[in-house]
Amino acid sequence: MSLLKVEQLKKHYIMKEGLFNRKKVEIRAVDGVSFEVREGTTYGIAGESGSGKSTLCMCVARLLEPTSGKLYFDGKEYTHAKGEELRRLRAEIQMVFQNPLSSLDPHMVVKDIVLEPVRAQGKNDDESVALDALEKVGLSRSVMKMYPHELSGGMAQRVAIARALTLRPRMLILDEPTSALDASMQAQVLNLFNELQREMKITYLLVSHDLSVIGHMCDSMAVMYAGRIVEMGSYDQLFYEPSHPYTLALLASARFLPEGVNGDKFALRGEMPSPRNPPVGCTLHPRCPFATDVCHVNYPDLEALGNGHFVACHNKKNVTEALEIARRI
Amino acid sequence: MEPLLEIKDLRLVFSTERGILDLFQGLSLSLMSREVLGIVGESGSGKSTLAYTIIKLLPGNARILSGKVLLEGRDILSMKEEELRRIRGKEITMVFQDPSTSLNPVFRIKDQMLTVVKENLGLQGEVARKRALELLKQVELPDPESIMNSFPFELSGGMQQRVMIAMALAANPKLIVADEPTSSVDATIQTQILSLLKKLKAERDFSLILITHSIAVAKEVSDRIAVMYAGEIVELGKVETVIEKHLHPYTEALLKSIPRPRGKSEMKRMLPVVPGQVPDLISPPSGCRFHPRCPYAMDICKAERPPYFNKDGSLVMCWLYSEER
Repeated sequence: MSLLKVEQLKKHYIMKEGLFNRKKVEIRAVDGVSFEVREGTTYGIAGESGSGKSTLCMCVARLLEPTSGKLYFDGKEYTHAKGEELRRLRAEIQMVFQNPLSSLDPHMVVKDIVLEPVRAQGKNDDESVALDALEKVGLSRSVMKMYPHELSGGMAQRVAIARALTLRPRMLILDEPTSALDASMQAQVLNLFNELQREMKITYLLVSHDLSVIGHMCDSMAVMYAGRIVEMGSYDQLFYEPSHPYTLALLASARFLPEGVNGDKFALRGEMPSPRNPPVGCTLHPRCPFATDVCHVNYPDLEALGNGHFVACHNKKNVTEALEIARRI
Repeated sequence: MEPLLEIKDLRLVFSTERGILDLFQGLSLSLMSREVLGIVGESGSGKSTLAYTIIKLLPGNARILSGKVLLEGRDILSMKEEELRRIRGKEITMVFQDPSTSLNPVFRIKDQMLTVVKENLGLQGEVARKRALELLKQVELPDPESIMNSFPFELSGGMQQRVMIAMALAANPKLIVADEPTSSVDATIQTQILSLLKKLKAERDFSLILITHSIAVAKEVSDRIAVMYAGEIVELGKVETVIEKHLHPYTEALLKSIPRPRGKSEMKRMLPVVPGQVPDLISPPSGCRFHPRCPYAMDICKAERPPYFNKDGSLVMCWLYSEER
């Protein structure tokens, strides 16, 4: 049974431009995204900046109002939950942001930061609650009276995680949780996430541009490009049987293609299109080495390849064939 | 062959509110002509300070206690401002991490490119413009004419970084120092910028110091890699040797702690981690600065700073490789 279910989620922004703001431009940050996350697993969302992955997180956490679509948590719809219902939901879904130093209040000491969620929920804000949470993330009592600026990046991120844990949430949304950390700190924090999952059965929605982090952590995943999911499935399917040119390009640029496969031929030309003026047809076609005429006209549907593997590409057969040939050489 | 750049026994400290921060306690390094040296380290390791020392562009609280930075035999550290101006931007140029803060937001690319070309090459008018266009072409920017007329904010991060590289190339420098040139761009763009650097390195006659926190990035373009920890170069060697036959316990730990995708159907696993944190250099550990975190630490590591030992063509600052052991 899935803990989180996202159905046809859209978040569009209207931007006013031009003289006297007379021109209106619609930006489709998230454009019809659906996926499910099973309880106790880690679901990865991979994509570059501008792909809409952070907007998606904010909508799932109900920090942004979605334009349309539906959100379910534990079988219950919460797309428009308000008041007491929303507050109860916030105790179940917590978020950890990218930069701990900007997500922790610089005027508060660690103890108050960690206890803020329980206080907001009107629950027990005994010192022991803070100590307990800090202990879970491997911090000692000595940090309780420190201010965020006195902490290193890795410690600050642990405090942010401790804060997210005090309410014993069932799901954590992790938006680039280790991008601001150095290699040795990143390893410590990723291990911490895996330990917590083992102990507390927490479910993670992990967003990252870094495929090595996704590949290390996730059970299933989706790849986003320009507001849509272009491919999704299990970890094995996406890393070992990628069927979308964009997934392939991401794997190639991270040097994760099978041994001996030259990734250069899968490289993308140019850069992500402006969301103000996206290309007609498939949004990837101006950059895609596999693009054909149909890609200039129609956006491909997400099609099932079996066993929960979905891909949105007109030329998916050519992609898998090209990879197969490259493997043989 | 004479090295292009030689850093000799550099000692550098910072005065801070909390006391003296002892960063370099005798750092030496040399770079050959046309060589690409990757300097890898975590934040606080001193890799950026090293880059700025090379062009003597240090903050006011930095003090150089001793040492030399020799560019073809001339000591940069003892030069006057006027002499330095003839070197910065001409013989040695820099590419910084965040192009959007290095480009002036109120001037068109044209104005900024022409300033660099005129200032450093003494070209004027149409000749200068042609040269600027040529440079933009060399960094593989599409439609250089329209780029020239753009403002920085109209270009993406990747395009801005290409403009910065074009500017760094303008004066035919002997040495380019690139400080995290791909850290602010996306993965697919990072690949593009790295292959551009590789192409330029093959075509042109410059040495490159590439400063990065990512050993994977350094591996892509470097001939040699220097691994830095707490103000020391702890290991220096050919790329393959450092990656495959690394010697220093810190290099080993750093490489092991990088998350990797699992094998097909492989279970999730824990990463081997280096316990603890980078030391506070206001009161640095005695002896080898890595000893409090090192799984192989011995008594001598606490007592004495290790010298460099030569092993398999690499230099390693670690007592494990002492012959007397």
